[in-house]
Amino acid sequence: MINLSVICPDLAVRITKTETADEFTSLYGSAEVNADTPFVFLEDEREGYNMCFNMERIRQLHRESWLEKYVDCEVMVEGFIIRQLARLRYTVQRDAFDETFQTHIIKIRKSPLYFAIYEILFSAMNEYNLCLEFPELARRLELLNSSISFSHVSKLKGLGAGFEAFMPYVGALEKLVRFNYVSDDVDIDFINFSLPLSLSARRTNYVSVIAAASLIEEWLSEATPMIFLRAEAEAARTGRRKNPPYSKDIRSVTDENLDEIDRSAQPLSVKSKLEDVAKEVGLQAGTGRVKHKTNDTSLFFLDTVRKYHKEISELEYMFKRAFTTMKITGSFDGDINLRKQQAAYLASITKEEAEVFQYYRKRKVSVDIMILRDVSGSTFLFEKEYAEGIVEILASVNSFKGIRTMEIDFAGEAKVNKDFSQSIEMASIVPISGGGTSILPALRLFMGQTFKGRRRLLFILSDGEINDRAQADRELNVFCRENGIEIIKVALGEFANNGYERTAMRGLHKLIARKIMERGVADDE
Amino acid sequence: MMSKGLRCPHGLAIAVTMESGIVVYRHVGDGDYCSHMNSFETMPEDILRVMIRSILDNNEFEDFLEIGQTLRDHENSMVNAHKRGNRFHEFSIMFKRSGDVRALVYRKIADLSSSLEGVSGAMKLFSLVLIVLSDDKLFAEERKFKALVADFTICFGFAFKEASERLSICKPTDSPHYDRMNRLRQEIEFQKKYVFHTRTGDKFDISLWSGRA
Repeated sequence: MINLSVICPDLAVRITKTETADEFTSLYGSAEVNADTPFVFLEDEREGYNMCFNMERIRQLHRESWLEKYVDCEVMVEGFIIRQLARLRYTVQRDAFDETFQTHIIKIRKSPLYFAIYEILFSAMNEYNLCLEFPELARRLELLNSSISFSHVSKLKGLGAGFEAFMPYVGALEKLVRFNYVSDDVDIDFINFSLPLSLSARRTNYVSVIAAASLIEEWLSEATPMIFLRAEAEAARTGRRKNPPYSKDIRSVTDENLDEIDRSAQPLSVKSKLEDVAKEVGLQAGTGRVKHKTNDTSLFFLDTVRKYHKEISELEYMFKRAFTTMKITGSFDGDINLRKQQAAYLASITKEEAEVFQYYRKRKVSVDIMILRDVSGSTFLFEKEYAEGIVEILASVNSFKGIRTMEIDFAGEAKVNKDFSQSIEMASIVPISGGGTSILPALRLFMGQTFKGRRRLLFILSDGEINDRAQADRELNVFCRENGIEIIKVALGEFANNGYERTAMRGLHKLIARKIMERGVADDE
Repeated sequence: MMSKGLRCPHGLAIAVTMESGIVVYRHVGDGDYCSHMNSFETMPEDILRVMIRSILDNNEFEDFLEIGQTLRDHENSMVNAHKRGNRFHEFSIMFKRSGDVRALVYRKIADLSSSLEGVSGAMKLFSLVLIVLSDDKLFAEERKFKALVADFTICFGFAFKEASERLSICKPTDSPHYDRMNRLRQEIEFQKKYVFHTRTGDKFDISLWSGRA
């Protein structure tokens, strides 16, 4: 089982399957979608992303490919999903309201030649970057690519005779980009011009893909007469007459289009900026892989407190109940007040039942709360939840004078984010993840602390995938037994292993309450 | 994998080989790795700069056009299927695309024009620039045309009149090229009159014809 959601963790894509081609075409049939289409990818403003597979066609493709002997057709489906998700991941549309990007959008719609070139380069860039970032997932994509062909050359065929002259060039580019094969069918000058640009596009980013596609398309349009002469010479040699390629309509973006871009770009850009400002806090909290600025810590903290204020107040109440101990103090009736004293005196004469008052003294709360947070790469999907969990716990005990808190992050190494002496404002708690999972360095730091609280709680927030778990568990159990520390292991999100109890953020306070109640609230003395 | 006839952006012949499972590109002449083909950070803009430098440094532009013949009827050259036609197309694409490329070309013109032996090359390059700027296809893209002319005006606008006279660019008046050059001249005059360009960065000395008495 592979985890596909790591490619686009912040996007929800619904995957549906139709068993027959008829069902598929009845649902999604259009001029471009027919029974031979393996899947459709729909982007709906309200519904979100939806990917629907035509399983009949997928099974047919699977039967026709070499994969049939070795793997089942689900691998092919996964390959398609990975390919589509990679396209979403590496497409940067945000903040791209500039003229170049808008020109690119228009060209994609209006120029089949540009579209074919762009698709070739963009697919290559996706595969390359996926190989670098997710080598395991890239293998599925390689399997898919080795079994079927996404030839953009054939798409030009049906677009009129004018485009046929360009087909060898687009085909040569595809071979060059995909297989590093230098084709003999086209002028070597085209290869010399395209090769460095396509390498740059593949190895860098989406912006380079657009620039390279546009330059290569321009080369072909400038060389149209030469291509035409070549096509004619070829036709004379083979005896097959070909129609001349189009040249006039090659410029797919007109000045009217650009004027329209100008008119719409400004409001779009302003709207985008306004949305960014409006979402600034939430976005920074949610995208933990970017390096956070120092101010983000407090923003994240405040945002989380605002988001989970109800849970925090419930947890605070529970902690108050659990950690507040009362001691009966010796007292006499007269200690209460004169009215109560008179009532007690009268009751003693009349022998009637009266209220009995008892003095309790609230004992000073004395609790140490220690939190170890797993920030390894495996928590990437839920790094936000892990950070929010810590904020929730820390915020709920913030108003107690006798509760000391500390927090340690661990991945390959460990780092004390907040020690007992630091105030909560000084702690740096933001969603982060990356690296291996080794808890022993964190335990060394934890064991080096001086515990003063009468009650000591250790929260370990992790998905349980810890490399040195066995040794760490042994050492931790011994240490905690000797020092009277209670361990609560929690996993936030979808993955939980090795004794870690899974919960969602909204249920964290209930889980903590249950765990503390199970271990017993503070006894009245 | 074939590598016959392949050239890198530097204009040097390259060989494509596999080393430790990685495809690498080496210059055939000295066996060095090509910095631009093997880099993981090279952007298309960098490639254009290297390509244009290769054209300018190797004086390839001198072979693109026969000045006297081409300026009168350059359309034939624009569509010829000759080898140098492709190279000229590339020059034209790069020139129209990148401001850095244009700056390098203008710098080259200014440098060449400062010495007696370079004047001929400067004239040829200047002519090439005019041909690109007066192209019908560019004129159809009015925005790009105006932007390119603005660049040109900042650098060479004031030398244009003298240069065009010396090159007999606008003669004979019945040539199809006359209209194009006239269009370019009008746009330059318009920009000189109504658009107040600021010259920043590199200052191009207008000494294009100073070497010739």
